[in-house]
Amino acid sequence: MYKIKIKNFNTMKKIILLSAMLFTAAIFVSISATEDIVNNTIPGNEKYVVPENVQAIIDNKCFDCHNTKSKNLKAKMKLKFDKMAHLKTHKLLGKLDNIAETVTEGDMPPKKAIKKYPDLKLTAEEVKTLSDWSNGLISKIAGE
Amino acid sequence: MNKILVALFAAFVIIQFIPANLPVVVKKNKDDLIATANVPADIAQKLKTSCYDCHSNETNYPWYSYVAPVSFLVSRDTREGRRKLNFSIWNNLSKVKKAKYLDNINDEVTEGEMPMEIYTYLHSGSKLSEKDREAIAAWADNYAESLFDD
Repeated sequence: MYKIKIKNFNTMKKIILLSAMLFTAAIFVSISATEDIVNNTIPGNEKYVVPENVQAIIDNKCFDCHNTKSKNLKAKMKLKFDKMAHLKTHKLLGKLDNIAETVTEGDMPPKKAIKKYPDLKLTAEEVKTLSDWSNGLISKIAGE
Repeated sequence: MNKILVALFAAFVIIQFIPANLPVVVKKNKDDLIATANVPADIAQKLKTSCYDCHSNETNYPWYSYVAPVSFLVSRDTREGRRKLNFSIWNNLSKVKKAKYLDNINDEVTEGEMPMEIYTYLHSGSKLSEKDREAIAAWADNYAESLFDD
C-alpha cells in the first residue's frame, strides 16, 4: 500500500514537471507570436513586413491620420496602417505603390498639415526609406 | 462705366491670343483600357462619359473650351487628369500600377471626389448615381483582384 503511494507520488511529480515544461514552452510560443504582431506580420499574411526604422517614421508622421480610429475620414478611407497586414494582395500592392508615389512627389504629409505642424515634414532620408521599403515589398510580393 | 466695359472687353480679346495649349486629342489608342481589357459594356459606357474626357487621350472639347479664360482651366485640368491616370496607355502599365490605379478609382468614386463637380456641372450626363459609383467600385476591385493570385 505504502509502496503504491510512493509510486503515485513519483508519477505526480513527473506530471507536474511535464506540465511546467509545456507551460514554459507555451510562454515562448506566445512571446514570439506577440513579436510577430509588433512587426506587423500576422500569421497567415507574412507579406507585410515593416522594419523598425520604417515603423518609426510611420508612427511619427503618418499614423495619426492613417489609422482605423482616425477622425480624418478621407485619410482613413484611403489608408489605414493598422489594417495593411489584413489586405488582399491586390489592395496591399495598390496601397504600397501609392505610398511610394505620394511621399516621393511630396504630396504627403499634406502641405496644410505641415504648415500647422512643421515637424511632420518628411526629410529627404525618410522619403527614401519609405519609398525604398514600399518598392522593395512590392517587388518581393509581385515579383515586378 | 463704359470705360470699364471697354477695358474688360479689350482684356477678353487680348487673352484670346495667349495660347492655351490644350492637350492633343488622339481617338485611336491601341493600348486603351476598353480596347484591351475585358470591361463590361455598362462600365465602359460610364467610364467613357464620366472619366475619359480628362483621363484619356480621347478628350471631347466643347466649343467654350477654346475660349479664354475657360481654355486655360480646361487645359490645366485635362493635362493634370492625364498625368494622374490615362486610360489610353492602360495596357502598357505593370500589374502593380494597374492595381494602384484601380484602388484609386475605387476610393475616388466611392468618396464622390470624382468626377470633379465643375465637370459634372458642365456635362450633365457625366454625373454618377450612387448605383453607378457602387458598380464602378466593384468592377475596379474585382479587376484588380483578378490580376493577382491570392
